[in-house]
This record gives sequence, structure tokens and C-alpha cells, in this order.
Amino acid sequence: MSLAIVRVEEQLYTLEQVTEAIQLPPHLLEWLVAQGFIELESQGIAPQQLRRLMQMQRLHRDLGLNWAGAAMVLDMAQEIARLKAQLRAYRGF
Amino acid sequence: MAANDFKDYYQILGVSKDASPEEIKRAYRRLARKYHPDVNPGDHEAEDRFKAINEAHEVLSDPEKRRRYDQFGQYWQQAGARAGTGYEGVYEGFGRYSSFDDFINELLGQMGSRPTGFGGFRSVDFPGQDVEASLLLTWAEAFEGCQRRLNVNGETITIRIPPGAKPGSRIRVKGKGQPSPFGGQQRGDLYLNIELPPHPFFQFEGEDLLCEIPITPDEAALGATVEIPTPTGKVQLKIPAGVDSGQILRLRGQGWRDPKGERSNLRVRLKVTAPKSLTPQERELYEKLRQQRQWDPRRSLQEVRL
Repeated sequence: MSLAIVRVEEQLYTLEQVTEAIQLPPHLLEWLVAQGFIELESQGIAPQQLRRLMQMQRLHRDLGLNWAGAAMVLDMAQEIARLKAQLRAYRGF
Repeated sequence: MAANDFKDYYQILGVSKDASPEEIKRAYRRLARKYHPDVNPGDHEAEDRFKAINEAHEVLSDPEKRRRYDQFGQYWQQAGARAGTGYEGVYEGFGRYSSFDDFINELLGQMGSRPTGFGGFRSVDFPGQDVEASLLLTWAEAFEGCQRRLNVNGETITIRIPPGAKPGSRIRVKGKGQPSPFGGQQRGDLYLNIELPPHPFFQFEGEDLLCEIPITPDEAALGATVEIPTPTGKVQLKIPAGVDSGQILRLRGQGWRDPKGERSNLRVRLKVTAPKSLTPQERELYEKLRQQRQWDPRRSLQEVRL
């Protein structure tokens, strides 16, 4: 039974890997980083930020949200998920 | 052909059979906003709904696919009514499909790409979504650390909670989140947010613990040594003479712990508590004290004006 707790070194993706893999124009990625919607590590992009980028891309594509809106929806969805989990924990207690 | 095979795409989108392309687009957008998996992380039901909505939209938004789908719908109804007779009527060629899925796979396979959930990306092994969960621990479990068996996506895993967890601590369990929606091997992570129920005596104040102890007026005036509870047992606290109600004394290294065993401080807030009933002797002594008092704590109030 595998379990890992707290911080583990993660594999980082290079900007080129990311833009190529999800077909995002490099200047758009630069812009998203400059706006603070996506955070970079010094050596590249963490998987968690790549996931976020892909989610933003889907929200943009599927729902017609702009990038700021997509970033906000993700932040709020995470907060709602956390609150729902908290509510479940307290109801069960 | 199974009778409950047929998927009513109009019903899935909540539109009538003669809905205009605009109505279909509007209905799709509205439902997609509501059930989009990125807006409902970890919600499998929403993800299934979203897939169905997408499939319905892919068929109904394309005039040719919609026409074929409508035809198949009529054929399916009649075939259902005359099961086993091989009836094909005016609807050419539908008899070769043994199920609705066969038909729709071919329709979407031939005339477009089958929607793969929310696919379109390939080539890199992309990780799945993170999952947020709350874990309610007792104060003792959080302080000492503990193991918990949790059911995550139908899989039982054992989690070790390191000692010193606090409300709001986040524990990351790598690779126990959602599977990748792109068929990759890498799963997202599970984040456990630690919750503690309110404690009758202790509460957190930043890194430190805060508690309140009642003391008597004479203890406040004269000082005293009192026994107070800490997370690891009772200790003696020396209260200096002349303390006020609300004053906080700090007990170094008697508060919460971190995973390495370092302890924060325990802050003890004093609450001067007056006796609610007095014996005749006590009353006499308090009266005497009042007569003898040289000190007026409200003297500075004389000067107060607006």
C-alpha cells in the first residue's frame, strides 16, 4: 500500500514541453504567467500548474470564459470543494 | 435491440424535438457551465452528466448528424414495437446496428471525432485532478500523530498523519486524486485538510495555544501557584502578585508541537472570578478589606470628559 506524505520532489515540465503538448502559443503562456494566472518554478512548470493551465484552457474552450474568468472559477471551485469536504466531515462527526 | 438502450439527446439537453440550433446551443452552454468537471472537481456524477451533454450537443448541433439521429430514433421506436421481426421500413440500413451505441459510435466516428470526455490533448502523460478532503481528528490524535484508513475512489489507503497537525494543516497524498481524464497513468493528488472540533479548554492562537484559567480576587492580589493542564499533562504556573483579569502569562514550550517535537508556547489568560456566595467570615473579611482600601482603580476616570 503506497503512501506518501507532504512534500515530495516533483518532475517539472519545460515551457516548450507544455506549449507543444497542449498546443498553446508560447506568447500566451508568457502572458498568463505575467498576469499571475499561472505560476512558474525556477526550473519549469509543476504538474499542478500544468493541470491548472489545462483546466483553464478547457473552461476557455468549452464555456467561452476568458482567462481571468477561468482562473477565478478554478480558485472558487477549489474553495467550494474544500468547504463541501469540511461540511461532510462535520456532519459525520 | 435493448429497449432502454436509446439515449434521448433532446431530453439530456432539456429541449424539445423541434428546438432551433440557437436553443440547442443555449441549453448546451447552460448545462455545460453547471456540470463542467473543472467546476465540480471530484464529482463523478457531474463528469458523467457533462459527457452526456457533450455527446448530445455533438449530435444535435450538426444538422446531418441530427437528421440521422432523428431517423434512427423513429426506426428504434418501430423496431422496439415489432421486436424480432427485422423490420426496417423506410429507414434504410439501420437494421445492421445491434444497439444504439453501435449506431452512435459509427455516426460520431464517421462524421467527426467521438468526444473523449473532454479530450483533444495527447502525447504527454498528464496528471489527473487533485481532490480536496477534510479529515476530522481528535485533539490527541492531531498532537500525537496517527494513522487513518481512508476510502478514496473505492480504494482503501492508510494515511499517516504526522504529529502536530493543526486546523488548516494540509497533507498531500501523492497520486491518490483523480485518474487522468486523458488516459494518462498519472493520478492527481489527494489533499487532506485537517479539522479539529472546538476544545472546551484549548484554542489555537497562531502557532501558540491559548487557554483561560479562573483565579480568585485574593490570588490576583497576592499571587499564587496554580496547577494548569497542558497538552502533555499538568504543570505548576506561578502567578505574580497584582495581576489583572485578562492578563496573559506565557508558558514557554508548553503549547502545541510541530512534527519534529518542538513545542510552541501556551498562553494562559487569567480571569479574576468573584465568589458567588460568601460565608459570614468571608463577608466580614471582604467588608474589612473595603474599609481599609487606600487605592482607587477609577481615580483617572475623574478627568474623563468628552
